[in-house]
Amino acid sequence: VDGSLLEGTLLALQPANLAAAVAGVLLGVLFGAIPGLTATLGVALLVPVTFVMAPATGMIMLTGVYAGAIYAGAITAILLRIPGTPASIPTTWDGYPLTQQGQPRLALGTAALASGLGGLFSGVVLLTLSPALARLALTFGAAEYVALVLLGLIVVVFLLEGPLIRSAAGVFTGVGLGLVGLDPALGFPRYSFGQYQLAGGLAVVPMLIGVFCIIEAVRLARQSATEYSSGGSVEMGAGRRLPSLSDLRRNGWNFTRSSAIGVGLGVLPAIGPETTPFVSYAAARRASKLKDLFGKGSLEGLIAAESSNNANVGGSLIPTLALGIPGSAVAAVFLGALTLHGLRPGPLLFVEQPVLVYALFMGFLLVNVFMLIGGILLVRQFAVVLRLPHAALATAVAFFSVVGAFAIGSNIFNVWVMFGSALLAAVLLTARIPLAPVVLGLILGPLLETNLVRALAGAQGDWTVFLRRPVAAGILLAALVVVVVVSIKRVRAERAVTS
Amino acid sequence: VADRAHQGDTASTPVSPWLIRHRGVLAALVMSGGFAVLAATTMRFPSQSRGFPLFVLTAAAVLFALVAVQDTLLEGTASPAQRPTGPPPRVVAFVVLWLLYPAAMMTVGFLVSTMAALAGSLAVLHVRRLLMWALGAVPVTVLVFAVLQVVLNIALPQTPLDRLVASFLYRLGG
Repeated sequence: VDGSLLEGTLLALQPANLAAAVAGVLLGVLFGAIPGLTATLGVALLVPVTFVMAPATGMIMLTGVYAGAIYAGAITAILLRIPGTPASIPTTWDGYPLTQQGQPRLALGTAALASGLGGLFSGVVLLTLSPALARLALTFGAAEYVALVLLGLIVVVFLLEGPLIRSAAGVFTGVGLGLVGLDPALGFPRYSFGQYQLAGGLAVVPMLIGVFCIIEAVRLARQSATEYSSGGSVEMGAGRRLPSLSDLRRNGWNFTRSSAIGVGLGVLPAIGPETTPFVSYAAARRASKLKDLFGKGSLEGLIAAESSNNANVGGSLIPTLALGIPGSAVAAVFLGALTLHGLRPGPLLFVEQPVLVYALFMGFLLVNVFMLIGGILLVRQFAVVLRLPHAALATAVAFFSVVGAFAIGSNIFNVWVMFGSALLAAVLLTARIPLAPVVLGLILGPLLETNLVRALAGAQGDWTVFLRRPVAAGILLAALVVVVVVSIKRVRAERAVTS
Repeated sequence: VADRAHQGDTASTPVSPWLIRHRGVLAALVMSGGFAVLAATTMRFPSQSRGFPLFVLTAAAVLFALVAVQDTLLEGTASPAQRPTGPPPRVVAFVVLWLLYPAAMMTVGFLVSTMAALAGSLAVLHVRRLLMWALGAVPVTVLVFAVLQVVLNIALPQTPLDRLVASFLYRLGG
């Protein structure tokens, strides 16, 4: 491990990879700062670009986009009270009041500092926890993987907000889409409709571009009918850029707790950066001695929201890399990018490509350092993107979606797959089905089926194999606990509403 | 926010009010029916390959049917103000334009189709200072072409014009 860590660090420090980290952060900031453009869209749109890069360079760039976009959502949240990404909603509660009080520079600087430190915290956890988790996962057989994927899917259905039935429908839709291609038992072709391009299954990246990017392009086009652009010029004023040392000392525990919440929730499938700041903000408010300041420009609230959403980024990469189970919708796109490079996310990645894995970890730490420095120094320049008209944004997103899908293998079929996925996503959204469970089902479905076939073949069709293996039984028990606890909580909440 | 401008064009494409009111239910029914048909086709699969797809597709069909039932019950309580309208015509034109773009790209090549698509898209969305944006589409198209074709070596659909520009760019790059 030590040798790989050193080699990975040296690989991450190569000029091309440093440039990729900086470019990724800048592009991510661009996506995050423009309301309506999300981190998922940014990563999905740039995956095809990484295809021609070395795997480490491409992946470092994508982590930069991911982290940069999550941070930059704070820019419009603070300056205009418009969250750049859903992860920045709680940032508006204290960031915008600080702007109203004439301290936008302090709010933006604090957000950059908290985001960077939250990201670094999660990077350290990623570096230490992922290899240990991967080593543990190496002892897993097919039965354990079935249990783990089932736990992931159950967490997606039960922990996402909204009706269970719709999340479940989303998961089954994703798993259903994963059925296209040869079946793992006999190699029998399923649902390929005579198209040889479908024999290997639906191409995941064009599908993700369709689901996340084309839908956004149409939404932006629709928005352009009523609103020319997201905002205009903003007076930044003077004043200090960073919180005082005493403010930082006072927020030490707040920062640690919020980052830990971000990482912890990030590890769970489907709990992306858009959920965690709500939890950490509530926790910070409960623990604060200055509760009354929350919602009126509290630095504590701002630090809680921003450190947790960026810590979630590293957290979501832990199961993605160590187990091949994405921790969020963006991480699912990231997983698709890894497979596009011929890499197999999961414990074997740590055995087959240890240098690349450590380069990615070190690259992620560097990304957060660049984000912290750039966030503090360049925030004024980033705010310019607010003036771009929605019509131009919609056009750019649609264009780069088509070109991106085509660029994957120079294949026009991928473009039609992308449009087909966008149409499906539109139907699902009309039925008010969330898209995150669909994406996770699509990624996890083939993993579930392959391991189910293997586990049952090894046990001569005996289903008790999942209960006879202690680790698999333990994971299934955890899944059962999630089902019971969440069901009880939901029933209690419904009763409280009724009464 | 100093200069947020509103264009005020909120006209919507004429769509049957009944269709708009029930579109959630209809979407769920379409999904349910689609999954039911796919589940039925698993009967043609060999028996060892049938179990997992049959379970997944049947469950999906049942869940979407339940969503449709839930939506039907909820619709009775929704006020007319909550009901959505059809998309503005410009959005429909935008979608049609980008659906035609890949086919146009294969027919008239990357450069011409892209310039036309970018300018057309900006025009249908009524961007202000259209001429400036449309002229901006020319260098953007050539830049993207250069990056994809020359730098990244991605084979784009080409006509004689594209080939001419590509050979010029290759010569430029030495």
